[in-house]
Amino acid sequence: MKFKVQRENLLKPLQLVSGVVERRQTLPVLSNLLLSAEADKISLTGTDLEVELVAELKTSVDEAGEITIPARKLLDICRTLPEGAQLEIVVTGDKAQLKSGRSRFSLSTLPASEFPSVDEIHGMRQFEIGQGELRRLIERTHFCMAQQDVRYYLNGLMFEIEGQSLRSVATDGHRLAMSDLVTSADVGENQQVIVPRKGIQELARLLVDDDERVQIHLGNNHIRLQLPGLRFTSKLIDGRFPDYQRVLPKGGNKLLTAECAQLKQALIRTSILSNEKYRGVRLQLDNGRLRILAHNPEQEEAEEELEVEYQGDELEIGFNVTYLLDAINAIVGDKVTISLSDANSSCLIQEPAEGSSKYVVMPMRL
Amino acid sequence: MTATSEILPWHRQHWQRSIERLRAGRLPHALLVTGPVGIGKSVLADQLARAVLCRAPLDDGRACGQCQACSLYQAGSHPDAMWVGPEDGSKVLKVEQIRAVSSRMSTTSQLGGHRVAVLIPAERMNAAAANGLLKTLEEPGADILLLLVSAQPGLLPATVRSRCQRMALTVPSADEAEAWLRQRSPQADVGLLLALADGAPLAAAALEGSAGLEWRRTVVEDWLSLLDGDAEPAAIAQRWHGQDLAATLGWLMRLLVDLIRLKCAGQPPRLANPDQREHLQRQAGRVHLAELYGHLQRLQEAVRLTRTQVSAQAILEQVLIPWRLGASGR
Amino acid sequence: MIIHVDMDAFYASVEERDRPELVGRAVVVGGSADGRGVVAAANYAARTFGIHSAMPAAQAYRLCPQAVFLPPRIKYYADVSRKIRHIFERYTPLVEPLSLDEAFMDARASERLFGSSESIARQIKNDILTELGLVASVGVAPNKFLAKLASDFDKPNGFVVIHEQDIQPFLDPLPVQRLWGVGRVGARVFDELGIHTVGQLRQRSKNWLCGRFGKFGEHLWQLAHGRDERTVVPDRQAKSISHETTFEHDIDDVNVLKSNLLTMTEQVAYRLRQAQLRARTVSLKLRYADFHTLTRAHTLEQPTHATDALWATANRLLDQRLLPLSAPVRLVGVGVSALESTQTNQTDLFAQARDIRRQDVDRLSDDISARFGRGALRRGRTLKP
Repeated sequence: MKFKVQRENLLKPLQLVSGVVERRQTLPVLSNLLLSAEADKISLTGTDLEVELVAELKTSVDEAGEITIPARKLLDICRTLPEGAQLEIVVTGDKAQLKSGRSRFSLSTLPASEFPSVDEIHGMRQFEIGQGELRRLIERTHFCMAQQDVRYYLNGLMFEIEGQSLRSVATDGHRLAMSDLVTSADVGENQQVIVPRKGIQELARLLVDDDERVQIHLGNNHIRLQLPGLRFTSKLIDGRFPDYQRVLPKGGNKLLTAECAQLKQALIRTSILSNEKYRGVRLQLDNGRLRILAHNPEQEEAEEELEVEYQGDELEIGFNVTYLLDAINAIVGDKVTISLSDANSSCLIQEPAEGSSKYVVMPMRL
Repeated sequence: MTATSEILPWHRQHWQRSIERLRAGRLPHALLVTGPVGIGKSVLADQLARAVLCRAPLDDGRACGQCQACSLYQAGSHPDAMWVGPEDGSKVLKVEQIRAVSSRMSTTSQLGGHRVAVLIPAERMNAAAANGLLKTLEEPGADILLLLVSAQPGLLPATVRSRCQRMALTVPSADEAEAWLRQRSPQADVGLLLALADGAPLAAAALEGSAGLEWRRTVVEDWLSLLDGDAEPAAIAQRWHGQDLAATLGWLMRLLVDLIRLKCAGQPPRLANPDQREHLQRQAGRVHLAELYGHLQRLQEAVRLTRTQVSAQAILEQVLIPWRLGASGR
Repeated sequence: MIIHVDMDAFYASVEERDRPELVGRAVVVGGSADGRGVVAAANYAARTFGIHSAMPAAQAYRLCPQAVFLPPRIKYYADVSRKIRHIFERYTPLVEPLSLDEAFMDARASERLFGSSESIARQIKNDILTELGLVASVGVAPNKFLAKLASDFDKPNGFVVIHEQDIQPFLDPLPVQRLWGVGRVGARVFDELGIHTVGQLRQRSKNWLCGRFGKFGEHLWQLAHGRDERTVVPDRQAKSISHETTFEHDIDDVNVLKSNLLTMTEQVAYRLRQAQLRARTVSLKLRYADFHTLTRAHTLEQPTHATDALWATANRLLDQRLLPLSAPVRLVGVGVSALESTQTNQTDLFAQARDIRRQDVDRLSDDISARFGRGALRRGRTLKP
């Protein structure tokens, strides 16, 4: 294998692909990148056995071939080469020679056959949506994903296809987020897939906020996205997502509407004196008025009062302030509506005009 | 590329049955592979794991050793296979390791086939780890194979055992074992090796020419001279100190059991130390059976103490001194 | 200085207090005269007949047929215990209960307010007697280990203070079995080694003791020198809560073990609820007659302070991980750790109704005992193992 490439052309894809490679990997081949060269392009593949990233770039290839080389070292070398440098990579025997100007490096390699890349995915269906649209679906819900929960199906983000709508849902058992997107194309048969946490985090990093279309491939075992110059593949969680419709509160007869910014600031200030670990705050609702109270084990106390739109019986209810803030932060628009029923039931947080996202938060017993 | 090893002759029945079930799509999701040490439990687990993952298995069900799955497995980088044992000098399988298994088993297969995890030795899972595995055992996805390999399945929580199907491997017949070992090591004293390994062929093969065999010789000689009154317990304990205590106690146990056999049966057909028959016979004539049972009890206690903080020296002295007393009391 | 308060024959004394007709008679709490169950407590009159706790009731009956056998009323004793606790808390917030009838206190920070630790200890003893009609033995010493020895030294109705300069003269003549964790049977091991007193033990080097007894040897060495670094930790700040019992005689009857474990589990659960905590991990400790000690732990998916759930776990640990017993047992203990506050209790979207019901049963029974003091709610095993 032999090819030449501009440092600037290689660096960005190399950084992206190396990003998924686990640093504490004990098996050498998994801390390597798969490097393949053919005709007029090279590709770089990195994996952590859950998420795979393949970057492709055009360059002049003298001799085709496939090999794996240490990701971290290749990246460090490229990063520290001077700007505008040109690299030549030649693989002979079990060594990869890197030349650039007067620098010479000889890196150890492992055969490509030891590298677990995902070539084809089975049971595929495809559709297209805007990159920005997908990014928003993730941004508005991902913070509710569970982390290392024994209910393993919660450790990811669920995408649900229903007719023309694509929905994302995440829950850690204490709260839930869902967001809807109506696509222009009929994506067909109903389907649910759960993408593991790591894959979602990687996607959030890769997707940019623009209208460019992105191809989504859904297989039995994988989700694959084709982005410009980059292919993302993630395994799926093999399990059933809980029936989230069942836990969406329906009987919320107490409606509170507040200015997003005002409510957020009040919550942030109160949270300073809430229990650092449990983050509990108490909401007291009365006609047109909301009081937020918090205290901590040192017996310090905070109290905020703000004017809100509220009609209904008096109500006192406790919440984890972080959960409330996460949801309010994800709300688009100036106002937020919270519907409640009693101190033991969940609340529903959304935009006043029933926007595309909904948040459910379970209370705390205080 | 290394070809897959032959199925060990005494595993063939289990092998064939497993392959039939695999082909019929009826392989259980969790197999508890049990049997004495040294009969090839891990060999069979490895062969099964490979077979399940292989894209083009041979006619007898073994992995081809050539396909992508096989070459990834051999490189240790098969994305759907895990081999989990105690790490970093730890004696136990930790909950983090089991979590990694559960997590891998909860996501879909990368290559589209089975997902396989081998846990060995499974009984080393600590409580939290065993607990963590339960969820995966209870709600396994499709095409999962968990191979729990254990010589002491009794140490596994019942909740884990009851959720696995047992594959109980046994020691082969003497003829089968000898034939296999002779073919492998034509020069060796096959009978002795097998006797010392309790008939376990792989353990016998590992003994051949090993330091363990050399060490046994020392233990036997020291012990005999202790019984003859030619050596002091403290000196022997001193010399044995620093050696593998469990192995040493194991050799002593075998010698003691032989003495009891000789005492009870006179001419027992089988001894655990067939090469020492004459010496043992001589010693057996000089001790009372009740004394031997006393030694047995102390030795069993000593084995238990190896799992505590008590020093090796103290344990050895506790075992050896009564032999000396017995000798002087005669 | 650390204060240790130990109620004298607590359960039996509470019964005597409430039923004056019992005064002067041998009173045995736990088990029935028909021989079922084990003795939970015996008053001093009963002890003169050789009756002691953890003894099978049948044996106690043989020793003293005229004794009064009463079923234990744990919830009620817990209620009395709470009143005693309130007395402690008048003087210091640093109260660490060991069981319903025993607690450590660190009152050093309150000395300006109430006088020396010694005088605080006297006030506490006096308050308990005048307000609750119960007698306590009190020890005051530089650390927990010595304070406990001190309270035990002149029991019943004792009051013993050990000052820094008195430590060695106090310890040396004591029989080794008074060292925590040795017990009566362990003393035999030391007898064979020619060690009868703490002073003789103190002559031995740390290395010698460690070689002989492992970690326990180190512990013995510290104790023989009167050292103990443990601080008084109130439950609310505790990282773990545990109860253990060193038997006067080694136990090989599993039912006796279980009976003791259940009682201790109830006390642990009660303390959790009082401290508004839930525990995620339950652990069990067994020490055999030869000091070989085993601990086994299980971590639950959901934290709990429900007696039922804790007992189910402890019982399962015993059945599956520790039985059959390989030797007679010197000590059993049950503990909980990975504690979480219940004050801030996040509810779950997909929670199971079962857990909530279970908690309600315990809350109810605690309430009943708090309000009426006569909770007839008892679990099966404390009565008939």
